[in-house]
Parts: sequence; structure tokens; C-alpha cells
Amino acid sequence: MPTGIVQRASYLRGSSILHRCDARIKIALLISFLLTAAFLPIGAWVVYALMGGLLLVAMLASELPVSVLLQRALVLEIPILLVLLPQLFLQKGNFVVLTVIKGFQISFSMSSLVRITSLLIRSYLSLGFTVLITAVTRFEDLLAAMRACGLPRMLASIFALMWRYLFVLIEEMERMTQARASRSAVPVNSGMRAGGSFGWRAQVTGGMAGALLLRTLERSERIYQAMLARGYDGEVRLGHASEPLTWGQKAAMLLMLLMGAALVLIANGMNGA
Amino acid sequence: MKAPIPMHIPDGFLSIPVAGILWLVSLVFIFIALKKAGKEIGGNKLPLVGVLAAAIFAGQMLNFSISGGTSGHLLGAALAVLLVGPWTAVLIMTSVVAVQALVFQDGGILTLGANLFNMAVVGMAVAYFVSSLFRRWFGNSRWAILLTAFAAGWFSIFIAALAASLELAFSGTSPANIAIPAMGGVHALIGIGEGLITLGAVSLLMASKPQLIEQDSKEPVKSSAVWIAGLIFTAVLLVCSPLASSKPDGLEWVAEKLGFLIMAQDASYHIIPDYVMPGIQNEALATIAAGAIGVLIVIAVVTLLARRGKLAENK
Repeated sequence: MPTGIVQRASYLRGSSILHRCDARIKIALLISFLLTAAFLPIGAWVVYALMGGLLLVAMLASELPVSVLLQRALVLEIPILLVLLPQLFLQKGNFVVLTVIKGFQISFSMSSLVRITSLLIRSYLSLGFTVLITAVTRFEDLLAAMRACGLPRMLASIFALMWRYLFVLIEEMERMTQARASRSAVPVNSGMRAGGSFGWRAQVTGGMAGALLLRTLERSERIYQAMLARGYDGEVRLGHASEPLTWGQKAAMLLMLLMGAALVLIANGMNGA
Repeated sequence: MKAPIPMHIPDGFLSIPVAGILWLVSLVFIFIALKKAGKEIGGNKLPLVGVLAAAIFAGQMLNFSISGGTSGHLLGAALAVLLVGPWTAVLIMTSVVAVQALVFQDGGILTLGANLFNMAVVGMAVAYFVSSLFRRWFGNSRWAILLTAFAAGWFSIFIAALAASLELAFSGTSPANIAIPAMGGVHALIGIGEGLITLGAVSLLMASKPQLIEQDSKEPVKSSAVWIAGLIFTAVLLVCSPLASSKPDGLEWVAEKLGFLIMAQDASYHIIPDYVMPGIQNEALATIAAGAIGVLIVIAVVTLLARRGKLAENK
């Protein structure tokens, strides 16, 4: 039973200008885009459209299939939709009566509709851009860039080791799940009845989690021995230090932030008018 | 694999002040954890926390069917606390939550601070507080350890969910009278899955490597600061949530005064700040009911386990 988590990991191979761009710049780009989206007021439709245009241009520049990127963001949007949608009918406002069925009045408020649509658009823009940036940046590069931006070395080492063993342990977990599925407690959505009682199934799953942790503790002990054998002295070396940014790159980063700020100001001005 | 109502808050759901403050708080906790975790597992071994984090990440994908297509699954904060101690658990959960946001887009980037706060800081502190409290009350017998595992799992999920819903309410994204009963109610149930998996894991560890669990009860590292933090999180969130959900206007008023409501700048939204919830008249009651049901379930499990433990000991 492949969980598909590996497919969901966002990096997509490529050699576009975005792929080759310094990861520090991409982080700056991402953060200024997200901040801009977060600061935009409710109902700033024109600016939303502008941001959408920017997102689309960036996606085209990545030379990756745009539909795949948009679809990924859409999948991530579904839970957000589920949280926001009920509010449409629960909040007070200028109610618009939709229809009357057998005496039940179904109505929603116009102001919530505007608010919820805005929230959905903004979160979709944010998701789209995050999906894009993580699709064109390898986690290793992201990590090196975060390290250059002040992430403590120990935390960077922890992240690096986690990344190295993540898929190893996911495969381990998948083997355990497969073993369980072939013997007893069939997982959800398989169309078959799950075996055993509820408590028993929970205990089996707990046992699997415990076994996974136990194996991992033993594995990490082996990893530690191997690290010592290779001369580990308490410092994990994470590859080359990044070169200092050029003035041009710094100026580009500043420009992005200013553009974002300008968009927010424009949007606020338009709403006020 | 996913909770029906996400615990991972996406970008755009928190106002900038809320997100910023929680980033700061989380960073402070993570920095302290980096200093303290070395003592828990040995300084040079600290990078190996990453391998454990990978295991918790993989473990989160384990699930078991409950009924009708829903499934129970693991968050792992409580399990990490029980296995390696509170500060190391902060680092484990930090790695898990950060990689989820950066690679799988589970949770936003600007909201990552808040997600770290809920799952790494609150989840950890509550699990530590509840587990050490239960150990003190019930001693160190087999059933007490299992009970502790369940309770730590349940409380860490429930309180973290309350924290998340209060953050949403504070940001003006989801009014308190909707967010708190919904998040609290759902996670009171999800917490049962968490508690049972944690219990199962601990029972396996007790059977195969008892020193891992028993060593913990002697508490080689005194973490009274974590204990107090856990107590405060638990108490404040348990008391605040029903209050906030019964008086959402009050919360909004506070948020507005503090300038937290940047997000909800829609004029009509401000003019009419009160909400109606057709069907559910008393939201405080709903939250309290959800909490009470959860507590009842915990008590039921306690009695059941106690009986089993006594039976086993009599044999």
C-alpha cells in the first residue's frame, strides 16, 4: 500500500532559471509573496488578479507543467474550503435568501461570501507560490540557504539527518503496513472489513509505532557508531558554505519586498476609495 | 492520513501579529530546547534527533480504521516525550512540523511559528505535565504507565487543538463560537486514537525494552519549567476556550484592542460583530460537553485499565 507521500514531496527536477536561482533569493521571494498575500485586505480583487498573474508567470518560468502545480495547490486547498464553507451560513450579515425548502430558509450573508472568497483566493495564492518554490528548490539547497540566514548549526544538522533518513523510514513503515494488511487489520478504504475489535486494531497500530521507534533507536545507535568511525567530533559538516550575495542579488531582494509593500498600499487605497 | 479538520494552520489563516508573536515564542522554546536536549541524550548525539524525527514522521502515516472510513492516527508529541524527554521531543516535533511545511505544504510558512507552537511546544509541555502528574498520582505499575501514555496522548492533542482554534479566533478567521467547539469536539475524538496508539507503542516498548520507559520515570533531567509551562497551557486553554466560545464578541474586542484583527478589514464584518449559530444555542455548553465526554472516556479507560492491571497482578 504505497501512501503516495513520496510523490507528494514537492521537488520536481528541472533546469529552468528558477531551478538555478540561489535558494536564498527564492526564500526571500517566497516570504515577500506570502507577506504580501497576508497583508492584502479583504475584497482587493484587482490586486488578487495581479498576484495571480505573477504566480502564473513564475510558474511558466519554472518550465514545469503548470497544471500539475495548480492541481497540487488545489488539493491542499480542499481542507481549507471545508473549514471556511460552513461560515457562509452561520454568520450574521446582510442575509440573502437563497431558497426556501419546506419552511427551512436557506440563506447566506453577502459579507461572509466576500470574506470567505477573499480568504480562499489568498490562501490559494500562498499555496500556489509555496508549491512552486519548493518544486524548484531541493531540500538540501533550502537547508543551506536557511543555514546562511541564521538557522543554528545544530538544528540544520538535525534537519539534514532527518531528511537523509526520512524516506528510508517511510519505506520501513510501508513494509510494516503491508505486513499488517496481508495478515489482519486491513486499513481504511480498502473495501474490506477491518479485522479484530477497535481496541485491538488500535493496539496493533500502537505496537507498530513502538516497533518503528525501537528499530529507529537501534538504527540511530548504529548511525552514531558509523559517524564516530568516520571521525565525527560533534559537528556535522553540511557541505560548502554559500558565497556572499552580490549587490545585484541584494537589490533584487529589496525590490521584491518593495513591490509587495506597494501592492498592499495600492490595495488598501482602492478599498478605502 | 489527514485529520478532517486540519491541525496544521495554512498561510492566510492567521493575522500577522498572531503569526509573528507565535514565531517568536516558538523560536525561544526551540533555542532553549537546543541547549537542554543535549543533556537528555548526550550533546554529540544531538543530530540523531533527526533520525527519530524521521521515524515520528513515518509513524504519523500509520493508521487504523475506526468506522465508516474514518481512521485513527498519530501525531507523536506524547510518544516522543515519553521516550526521550521533553526538550528532545521539542526538537523532534520541530523537525517534523518544519519538514511538513517546507516539503509537503502541510501548514503554511508564515503560520509555521504557530504550528510549531501548537504541536511542538504546547503538545510537548502538556504531554510532559500530564504524564508526570499521572506518574505521581498512580505510581509506576504497568497499568499506571499505560494509563499515563493514553492520557498524555489525549491531552496533548486536545489542548493543542484548543490552542489552534483560539489562534484562528484571535485572527478573526473563524469566530470562536464556531472554531472552538468544532476543533475541540473533533480533536477530543482524534485524541482517543492518539492516546490508544501511544498506549500501544508504550506497551510494546515495556515488553521489549522496559529500561527505555522505566528510566524515564526516575526523571534524570528535572524539567520543572516544562512542567509549569504545561500546567499553564492546560489550565489557561481549558478555561479560556469555553469562555471565548460563549463570548466571541469579547474575544474579538480583545483582539481588536490589541490590533490583531488586521486580517478582517471588511467593513460590514466589523459593523455587525455578533454571530448567530442556528441550531446550537449555547456554544459554551457544546465545548464543555465535548470536553466532558473526553474526560469521561479517559476515566472509563482508567477504570478499565486499573481493573485489568489488578487482575494481572492477582494472577
